[in-house]
Formats: sequence, C-alpha cells, structure tokens
Amino acid sequence: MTEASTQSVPVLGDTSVRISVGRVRRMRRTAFRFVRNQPLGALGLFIVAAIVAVAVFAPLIATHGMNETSLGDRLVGPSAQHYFGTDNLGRDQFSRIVYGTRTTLQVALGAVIIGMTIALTVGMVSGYFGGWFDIIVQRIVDAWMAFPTLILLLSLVAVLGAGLAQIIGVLSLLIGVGGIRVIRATTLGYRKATFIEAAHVIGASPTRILVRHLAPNLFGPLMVLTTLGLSSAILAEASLSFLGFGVPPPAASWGRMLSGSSSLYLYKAPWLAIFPGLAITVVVFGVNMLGDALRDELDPRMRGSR
Amino acid sequence: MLGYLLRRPAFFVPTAFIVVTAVFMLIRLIPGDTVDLMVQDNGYAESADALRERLGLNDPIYVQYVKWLGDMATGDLGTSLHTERTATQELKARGPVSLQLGLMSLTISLLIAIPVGIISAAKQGSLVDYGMRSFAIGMLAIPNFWFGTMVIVIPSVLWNVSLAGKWVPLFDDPVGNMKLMIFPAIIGGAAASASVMRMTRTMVLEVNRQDYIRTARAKGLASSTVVWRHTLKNALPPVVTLVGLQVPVIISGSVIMEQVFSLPGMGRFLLDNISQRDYPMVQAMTLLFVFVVLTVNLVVDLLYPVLDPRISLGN
Repeated sequence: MTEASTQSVPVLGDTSVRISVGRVRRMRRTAFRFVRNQPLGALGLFIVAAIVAVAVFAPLIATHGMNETSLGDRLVGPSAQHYFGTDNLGRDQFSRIVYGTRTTLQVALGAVIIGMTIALTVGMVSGYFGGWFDIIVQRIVDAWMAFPTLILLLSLVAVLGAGLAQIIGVLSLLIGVGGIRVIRATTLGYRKATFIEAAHVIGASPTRILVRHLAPNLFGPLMVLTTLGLSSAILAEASLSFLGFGVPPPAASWGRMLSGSSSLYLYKAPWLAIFPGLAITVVVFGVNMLGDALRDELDPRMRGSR
Repeated sequence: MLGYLLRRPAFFVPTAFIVVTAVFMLIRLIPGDTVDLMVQDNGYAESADALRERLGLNDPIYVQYVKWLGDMATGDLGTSLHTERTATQELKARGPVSLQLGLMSLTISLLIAIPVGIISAAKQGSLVDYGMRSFAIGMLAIPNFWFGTMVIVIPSVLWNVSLAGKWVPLFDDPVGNMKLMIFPAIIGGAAASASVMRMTRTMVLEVNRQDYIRTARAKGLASSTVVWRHTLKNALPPVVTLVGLQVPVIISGSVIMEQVFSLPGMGRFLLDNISQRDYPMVQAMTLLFVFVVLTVNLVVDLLYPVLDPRISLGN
C-alpha cells in the first residue's frame, strides 16, 4: 500500500457517503410527494412490489409444490391447509396462484422489455428522420391497428405454435407497435427543439443526438407506455391461456386455471373460478393505478387519454 | 365535400392492401413440421406434399399472391380443410350471431358510457364522479372471461339457474334468444364502456372550460339548454371517433363471450379452426374481422364532417 492510496480511500468514502445521503433524502422526498399526490398510485406501486416479491420468494410462500397432486384431497374447499382449496387433481390452488405470478411476470416483463425496445428504436427513427421510412412505418402501424388484438394474437399463435417464447414474442409486437405512435409523436415534438438543433450544429452524429439528447427526454412517455403495456400483456396472456393457446403446462398460468379440465368442476368447486380471476384483477388494477398516477406526474398531455 | 369523400378512401386502400398481404402471409408462416402434423392428426391429405398442393403452397409465391388476390376479389374466401364447406357458407350461418352480439355490446357500452361520462363531468370531484371513475378503472382490470365465468357459475351454484343454454336463432324465438344474448352483451359492453366513458368525461370537462360556454351561461340560458345545445354538440364528435376504435375491442370481447357462453358465432368458429389447424378458415375469419374494423372506421371518418362542420373539407 502506498501513502497516496491510503489517503485517497477516506476522501472517496466521504464523497460517496455525502452523495448517497443527499440522494436518499431526495428520493425520500420524491416518494413522499408521490404518496401524497397520488394515493391510488402508491397503492398500485405497493401491489406491484408485492407481486414481484411473491414471484421472487414463491417457493418460500407456497405451502405446497406447484404441480404436487394429492389424490385424497381433490376439490377440497378453502381451509387452513389449502387456503384457496384444491382442484380436480388435488393440487393446492394457493400455491399454484403463487407460482403463477412467475409465469405472469416472465411473460409481461419479457414482452414489455422487447416491446419498448421496438417502440423506442422505430418510433425515434421514424419521427426524427421522417421520409419514406416514416411513411412505410405509419402505414404498417395503421394496418396493424385494424386487427382486433385478440384475433391478431390468436392468428399468430395459431401459426407459430403455443410456447413461452412465442407468446412473449407476439405480445412484445403488440406492445411495441402500439408504442411506436406515442414515441414518434413525442419525437416530432422535440425535433425542432433548441437543444437538438444545438447538438446538430456542434456536429453531433444523428445516432448521438438520438441516444444522448432525445432518448432521455422520452423517459416520461416510456414509463407510461411500460405500465400500460404491462397491464395489457398480463390480460392478454391470461385471455390466451384461458382460450387454451397460452403458456403450455407444466407452468402454472392464472388464465388456464379457469379453463381446460378444471372448468368442468367450476360448479362443484366455485373457488376454482374465484381465486385465479381475483389474482389477475388485483394485479392489473395495481398496474393500471400506478400507470395512471405516473401519467399524471410525468406526462400531463396524456392525461385522460385512455 | 365531394373531394373529401373521394380522398378519404384513398387512405383506406393502402391500409387494406397491407392487411390483405399480411393475412396472405399468415398461412406461409406455418412451420414445415406443422404441415406434417396436419396430415398425421387431421388426415387433411395423403402426404405433406399433397397437402401443400391443396393449400396452393407449391406455386411460386407471386403466382400464389395473384391467385389469392383474384379469389378475394371474386368473393371466394377459401374452403375448409375439415368440413369442405366454404368460408362464405360459414359466414352466412355464423355471421348473424356475432353481428347481433357485437351490436348489442356496442349499444350497451354507449348507453352506459355516454350518460355516465356526462354526469361524472357535471359533478366533477363529487362522490358520484369518484365512484363512477373507480367503476371504469375496475372494469378495465377485470378479465372479461372471468367476469363471464362468474356470471354463469354463481347463479348456478346459489340458485341452480343456468344462464347458458342451447342456442336459438333470434327470429325463431326472440325471447329465448335474448335470454342467451343479454348477459354476454352486458359483460362485453360494460368492459368496452370504460374507455369511452373516460373520453366523454374528459371532452365534456374540456368543452366546459371554453369561453362560449361561459357566455351561454352568462346570458342566462337554462343549465339543460347549455348542456344539450352547447356542451354535447362540441364534446361528442371526438367520442364518435373513439367508438370506431372500440369496434376491435368489441370483436375481441365477443370472441371470448362466444366461448364462455357457448354461442355459435364466428369467434368460436375461429377458435375451433385454430385447434383443428384448419388454416384456410383461420385466414378467412381473420380477414373478415379486419375488414369489419376497416369499414367501420371509414364510415366514422366519412360521418365526422357531418357531426363537426368545423372540420374543413376543402383542403
């Protein structure tokens, strides 16, 4: 150890401590303001955080295995042993719903991440450069929007086959193409902004302008699109699974819990119908609430547009 | 006016062209092993190659494309591999069911959305406004297939009443038909009403901020006159555009409702065809649904200048 390095350590440490204290304080203030201004949004955030926690710690929370069957306990109602009852194979519904959060989040997050990448890239390029690329993209988006969502998803899944990767791919297109419009419109608004022109004048390359100057300004609409995309992906995955074209077994999917073989027993065992649907509703409600609040906070122009 | 009426379909044509091309590509996206499965599981042809011949996949792609466009132009939407019935025959049998369900859902959604949106805006910030907005947000979160399932299961478990039953056509037994259709229509309509309601509320609030509304009130017009003659006349045209955008939502909802309530419509037919890998029918149904959407949006756009004369038609 040289003298210089031992000296520099406390200095660096001091600075980082000072920065992190300031940042924590600022974050705490932002969080406090968010809770005060958007109580429902804070509730939404809480629900989303809780779902993520359930997905991460699923094996600790679940009381039984995901596909563990117990033929002695078939179609048992909710009890202390089986919180949400059991299905026709004696599988514990509570545990299946807990593991189902993993399927739901996997599909929704995968679709949103890929979808937002598509929306951001195509939307920015289309809006910033314009020209024939823009015209073609806009016509394709128009045509895409003419397809009823479910018909489009079903046709694509029919042809590509049902599987986790296919579902994520198809849903990411759904979210991505929808987002292109919003990103393009926002980009158009910034195209003539002084800071973009200034960057252009000092000789920044178009790539640099898009990535370093434009993209950070799209943070607001991107956050809003992300939450809206999450809720539509969750609902779409559930609908596809309900119709029998979703994520295939052995994964637990909330939508499929309401269909297939268990649907024959819904009259005998109504709890099989109640809990998976309730899980979907609570999650989508939470994500929507968070999305609405973010829209109000980050992007006032989009307020009430949905 | 005439210029607008002629120019507007000019936007329709490229979109329709892309749509037709996209649907044409659909059957060409089928992986090779799926064709083998179609022969093995469904016995659609002697061999995979014979099936490709039957689907017309052996010609060069531009020949296939021209042939497909020609068939579409002459109204030949394809023939089922499974039943050998044509898509047109199926459409005649099943179209009316889906059309009835779709129209009923749309009517119900507007009957809920527009009055509720107006009342919600008129009483902005009140308990009524808050309650109705919460209802709308709730409706957006509840999956319609779950809602439908609960509506069937709960009365059946509690009172032994069955809401789904054997299908009867509207003109044979109107009462029996309505008994089957009203619940799916209400559920589909309520789900679709949420976004129209929010749009109506926003538009009414927006218009109410305008100077001419203040003038109308200041000169002593009755509140109801202001609402009917000034506010709604200005607030509703954008809502009409949204109604056009609701048609795809209603179609998606109807597919699910037909499945949940066992109605013999086109949506359920599409699902059956996907399970049977009857791709020519999947293609035909997809194209039909998209053309309904495109046509409705064209009509909405053509109606728009009638509803809102401020839209200038000259340029």
